[in-house]
Amino acid sequence: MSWDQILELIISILTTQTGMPNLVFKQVVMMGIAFFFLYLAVAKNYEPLLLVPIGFGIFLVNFPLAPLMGYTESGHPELIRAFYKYGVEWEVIPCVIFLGLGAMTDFGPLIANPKTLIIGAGAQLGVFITYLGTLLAGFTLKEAASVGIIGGADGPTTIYLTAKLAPHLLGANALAAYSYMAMVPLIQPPIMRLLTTPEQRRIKMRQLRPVSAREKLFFPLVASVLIILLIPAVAPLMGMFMFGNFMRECGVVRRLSDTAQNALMNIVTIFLGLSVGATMQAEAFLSLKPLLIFTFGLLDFVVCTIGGILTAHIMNRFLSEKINPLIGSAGVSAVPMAARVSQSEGLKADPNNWLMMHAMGPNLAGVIGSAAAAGMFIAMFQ
Amino acid sequence: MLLRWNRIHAAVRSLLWAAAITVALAGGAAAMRGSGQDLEKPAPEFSAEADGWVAKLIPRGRSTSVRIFFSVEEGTLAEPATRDFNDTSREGVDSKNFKSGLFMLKVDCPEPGGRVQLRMRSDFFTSGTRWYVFNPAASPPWKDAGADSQALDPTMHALSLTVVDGGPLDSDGRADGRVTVIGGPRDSFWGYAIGTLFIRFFGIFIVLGILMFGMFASGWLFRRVETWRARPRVSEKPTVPASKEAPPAPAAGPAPELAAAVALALHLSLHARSTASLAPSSPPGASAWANAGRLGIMAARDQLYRRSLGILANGDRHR
Repeated sequence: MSWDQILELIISILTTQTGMPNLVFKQVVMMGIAFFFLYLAVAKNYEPLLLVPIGFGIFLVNFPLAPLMGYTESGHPELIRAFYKYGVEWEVIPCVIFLGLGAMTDFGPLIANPKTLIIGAGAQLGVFITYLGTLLAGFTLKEAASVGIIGGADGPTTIYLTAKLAPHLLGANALAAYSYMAMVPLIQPPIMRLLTTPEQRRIKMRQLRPVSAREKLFFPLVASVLIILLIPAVAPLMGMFMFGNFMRECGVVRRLSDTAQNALMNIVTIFLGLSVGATMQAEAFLSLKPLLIFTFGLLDFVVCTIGGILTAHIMNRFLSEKINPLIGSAGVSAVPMAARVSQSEGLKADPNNWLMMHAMGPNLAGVIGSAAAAGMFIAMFQ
Repeated sequence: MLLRWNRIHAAVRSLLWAAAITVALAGGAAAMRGSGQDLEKPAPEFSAEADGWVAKLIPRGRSTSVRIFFSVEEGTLAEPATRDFNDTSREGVDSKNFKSGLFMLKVDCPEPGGRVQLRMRSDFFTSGTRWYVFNPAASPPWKDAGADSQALDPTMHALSLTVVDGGPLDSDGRADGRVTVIGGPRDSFWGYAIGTLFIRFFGIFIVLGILMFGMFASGWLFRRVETWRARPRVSEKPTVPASKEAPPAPAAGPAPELAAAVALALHLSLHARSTASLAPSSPPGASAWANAGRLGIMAARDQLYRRSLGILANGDRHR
């Protein structure tokens, strides 16, 4: 073998089997974005359970020639592509997460005060306003619906709907949803203070009635019947959610409930985060749309918060026993972060005003409301 | 003064944020519209049916496919084809309104200059669907063909269109025995988008409102059941009617723990009295016989003491 042939072989190996010569600027930018989200998760503790796997997914998938998100020559999906294909594309993981969420949720505050369901509906205002705004910006109907649902502040619902309607926007939508959910304590308080007077913030609400175990047990059955009969398209999400809750409340399958809440939830969260992060490859992500999605997402959150508070104000016009409008902002379904924000703002106005349990009602209603909105959108495109 | 300044500062900051978001959205939207991406472009597949042709396609804004049937009276319909909207794009004509895309239909007439009747039917059509045709030689090139709309059943609508060979709807403009119609069904995109927006937003209120009433009803029911279950049973009713002054009568005697404690206290008291003479305190330097007797008495007392607590000699508790 001559020196020329050896040199040719080395060059061939370098260009076809190593990543260095194939690394392009866009991929470096994406790695920078990955580091940014990892920083937010690790240093700032912003939704670390999701942002760590998402950030690392972005980081991994932007290495050149890395066999992660493609298909082999025989047509088999590569590692993260397999997670994505069977978990997200087949719409399995978001529903399993809803199962875990259901097993973790105590519907007591909502059952004790069903009026708060209306606040959960009002807080979906931003979803529809953003839907209109994105259409004006040139998004397609399906894209607009998937961006609009970000304001519902429900990560699994956003991923479920986006995977169904606009899978090419999955990375940007999921990232926007989880980022803004983490920023609820920053986004909501100024809006809450702007839309309420100090007197309204000091309204004290009557303690919630106790809810019996039997009533909690029947709630998932009653809710499933009513919601799935009205919006069959929401059955995968709502069915799993209510099934998880039934396992929790029935008390005879503690092991299953415990698994759904902990081990199963953690496992699918890892796969979901990696899969979502891996959709953010440089050539797909570095465009104008993700920037617009982030901007619309912020607008969406703001309008959803406004919608919840305004609904509480409107309800107060008709109710003899007033509700504190601060719990309106909890109508976005970032559970329990949004309820905590209501609590902290209430305490600022009156150190003896404990709103946490009252705010959990609209918070849980927001979960149901955003899933209902997703179901509405899915039905619209069938 | 400081409070006022803070409020002004907050208002200005909010306005700046709002302006930045507006500029970003407007700029981004303008740039996106210019990019001309069409991700939802319908791609119909045609197949022959007994009475004509059928196009199967996924229209804009849908996830599932629909079928459009084409047939013709007095003539022969060749296999339909699609036309790219960009080739027929004109000012004021929005491709979004043509959710199913554009079709090119060619019909051989019985004789040159004759007329044919085209018939399109689909469950995707609504009563508001119009058939628009494109004729580059006409002014304006795009116009409503004036097709008759007919509801075949609650879901299926049909559009009928009469075209004259060489007439204004014939895109080739020649009376050559072949009619070429370029066009497609048109629905108002914004009408649909805004209409469905309101329906679905209020739909959520309706769904959650129904759930709310369901929860009120079930809550009322469960509370009634709980109250009913918690009421005192007939056999447990006190024999003496309770009054405000009278203390509440015990329902079923004292608790077992209380009874055991009282019994223990009585026993120890009585036993202490009865054994006081039997086991006098031994004086210092008492004999071995006296001490043995004292131990025997203490052991008997201990056994009685333990029995009254419900503890067996081996230390196990009674159930």
